[in-house]
Amino acid sequence: MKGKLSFLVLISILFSSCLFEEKDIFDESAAVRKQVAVEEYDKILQSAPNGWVFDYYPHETRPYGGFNYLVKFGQGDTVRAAFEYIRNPEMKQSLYEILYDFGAMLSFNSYNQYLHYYAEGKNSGALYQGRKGDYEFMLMDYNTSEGELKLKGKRTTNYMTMTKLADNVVWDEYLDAVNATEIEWMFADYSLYVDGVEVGTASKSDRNITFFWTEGEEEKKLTQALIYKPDGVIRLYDVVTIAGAAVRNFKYDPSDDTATSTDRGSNVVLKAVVPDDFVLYKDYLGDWTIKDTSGTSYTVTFTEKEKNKSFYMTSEALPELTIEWGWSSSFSGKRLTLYTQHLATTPEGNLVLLMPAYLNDTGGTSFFPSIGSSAAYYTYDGENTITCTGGTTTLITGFILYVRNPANSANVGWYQNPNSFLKTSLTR
Amino acid sequence: MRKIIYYLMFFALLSIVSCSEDGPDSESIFVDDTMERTQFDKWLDHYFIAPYNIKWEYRMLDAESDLGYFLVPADYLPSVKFAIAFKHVILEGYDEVWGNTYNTKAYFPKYFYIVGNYAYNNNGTTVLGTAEAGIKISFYGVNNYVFDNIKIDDDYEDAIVRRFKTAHHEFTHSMHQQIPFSDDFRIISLTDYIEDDWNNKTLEDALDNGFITTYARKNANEDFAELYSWYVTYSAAWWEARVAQASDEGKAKINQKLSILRTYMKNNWDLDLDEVRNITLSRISELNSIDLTDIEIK
Repeated sequence: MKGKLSFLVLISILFSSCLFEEKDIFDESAAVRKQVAVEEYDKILQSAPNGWVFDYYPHETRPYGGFNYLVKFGQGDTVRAAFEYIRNPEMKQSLYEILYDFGAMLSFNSYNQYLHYYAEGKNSGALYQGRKGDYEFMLMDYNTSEGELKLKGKRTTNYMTMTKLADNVVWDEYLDAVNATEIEWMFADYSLYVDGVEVGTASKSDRNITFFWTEGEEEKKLTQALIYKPDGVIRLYDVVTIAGAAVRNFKYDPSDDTATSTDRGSNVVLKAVVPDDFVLYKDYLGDWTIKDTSGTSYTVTFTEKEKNKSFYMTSEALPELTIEWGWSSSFSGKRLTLYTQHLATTPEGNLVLLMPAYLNDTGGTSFFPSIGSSAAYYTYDGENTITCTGGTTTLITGFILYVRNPANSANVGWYQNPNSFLKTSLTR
Repeated sequence: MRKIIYYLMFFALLSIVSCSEDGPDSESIFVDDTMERTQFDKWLDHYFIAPYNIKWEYRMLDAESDLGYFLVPADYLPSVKFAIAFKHVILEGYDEVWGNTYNTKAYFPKYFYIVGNYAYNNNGTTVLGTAEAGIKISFYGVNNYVFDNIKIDDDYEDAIVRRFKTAHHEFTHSMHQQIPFSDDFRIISLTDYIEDDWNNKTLEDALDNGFITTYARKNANEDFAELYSWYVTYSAAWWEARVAQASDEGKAKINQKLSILRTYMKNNWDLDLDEVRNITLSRISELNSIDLTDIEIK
């Protein structure tokens, strides 16, 4: 009995005299590790001397598609931003902070007209929740070799990326290129080809694209948000697999209105379906004849200003003036827009304005002087005539050239002849 | 043998207690934030934290806000202007009333949350601010505040004067949460408090029933806070004109409640309503001659 007892005691000594040491899993405390994560990401954000391209997707269902921001993080918690959607030479500066909340989180925590554009609830019924965008992002991962930072919207849970912008890229030119791509992708409907075989169609509505195709007997349909990138490229929010081909990027070729996937190993082509009555931008280029209100004819010439967006109109009758016309793919490409514009300044400092106008009941001319906002619309019949069809009001029948004093908005008088083009058309 | 066993057991025991050292780490787990501080942060340390222990949180964290709304942070400059104006009219105003900084520090709410836009509801109503437990006060819509040409008695939504009213209002809650007002106050309008239905009532209706605003109809606490805050933020002429619109019965009730409020403030908080009002008004009128962007520490 005693032997048993001493044996038990011996065992108890053996087992109890060990060294209790619970190895820490991490070398540093949780608080230190959090701080390290925060500082690490801050270093990464500040490591881009020319900033980042931020592919941003507002709203959890991404109905608006994606938008390009250019952001540069600097000293003193400052962030400067430019924004594809509101083009303004002035960048907006505000503050940012990296916090720790289930991981490192980037917060744009002072107001920035651009960065909070989609997040701000507005005092107008439909937008009382804004556009449900984020301004706080979980920092998920940084790929050093690609210079690509993965983020996740705190509210939307959308995955987004920031990519380092090369040092030689000029911000404005980058955003110009993005805007140009948007204009290039003007058609809504496409035929869909995989490896050269037509499998279905695609339909683009704003910044979402829906693919319809058949796989075997099965009808497939898939919608994905997209973002415009420079050089005619659109990138989808996520990879889509169409009849076995995984694709995310398409590059548009305006020479044959065809977009081809650029992802390795897949060959998907979108061929624009151009509506029968569609009038192309280039169909407007060249000489036209315009009559002034008194019926005298003049030759005018349309040249390219910004492709698929605007034209210059010049005439030997008024060699010192260049008039700008706007074009878009809406209305089947048939509508031209002529905004009130400042064409020249007289030696006395008065403004030569082009204004939409009409002849009123008293025989006088009514006109619309708000530069850049009042407009006359002209419609092309697709054959040989472009006619004024209203504008800011349906009464508008054309435009006049008039001189105004900018100091007091007083009407100085008509510009030299010809100066009135009402109830008239442009003809080939 | 028994002795040996005890001896061994003693060692066994010793081996348990002596086996390893697991004392607290010499390093604190709290790590100082290394994020950079703006000049405004330094100014706030000096003029809000040090004298009043008040945190003016102008860099909004979405998680700290009401996620039912789509709120955005305040712009830097309006946050600065609002802080300077708030300090001049409210904090230093109470210092002047009490003749010391101690009371303001002791009793005033401690956490101010500055939000860029207003909180909009889908029924078209707008939330201008909130108070939580007399401690955390949120001011919404700071980016809309109008700081130019500040006039006393401005009571439109974006007027900065309305924010001073809100500050007095929330301070009232903080006070009555610490020292309740008497039931005599509650009884006067007992059956006329209507909770959220206040939003469907007109000002005329409120006045005729003895309330200074429509919101005062919500409950007795709001009634108490509305009565105090409108009284001390707006001029005597404004107050008299407002009360004059009420029915005789309404007037009588307002004055009855005002009298209880006056006594409560005097006896419990050493606050004379008319003195608070005079100081508030004169400090509001001084705002136009103050540089609301100057955040140099002097």
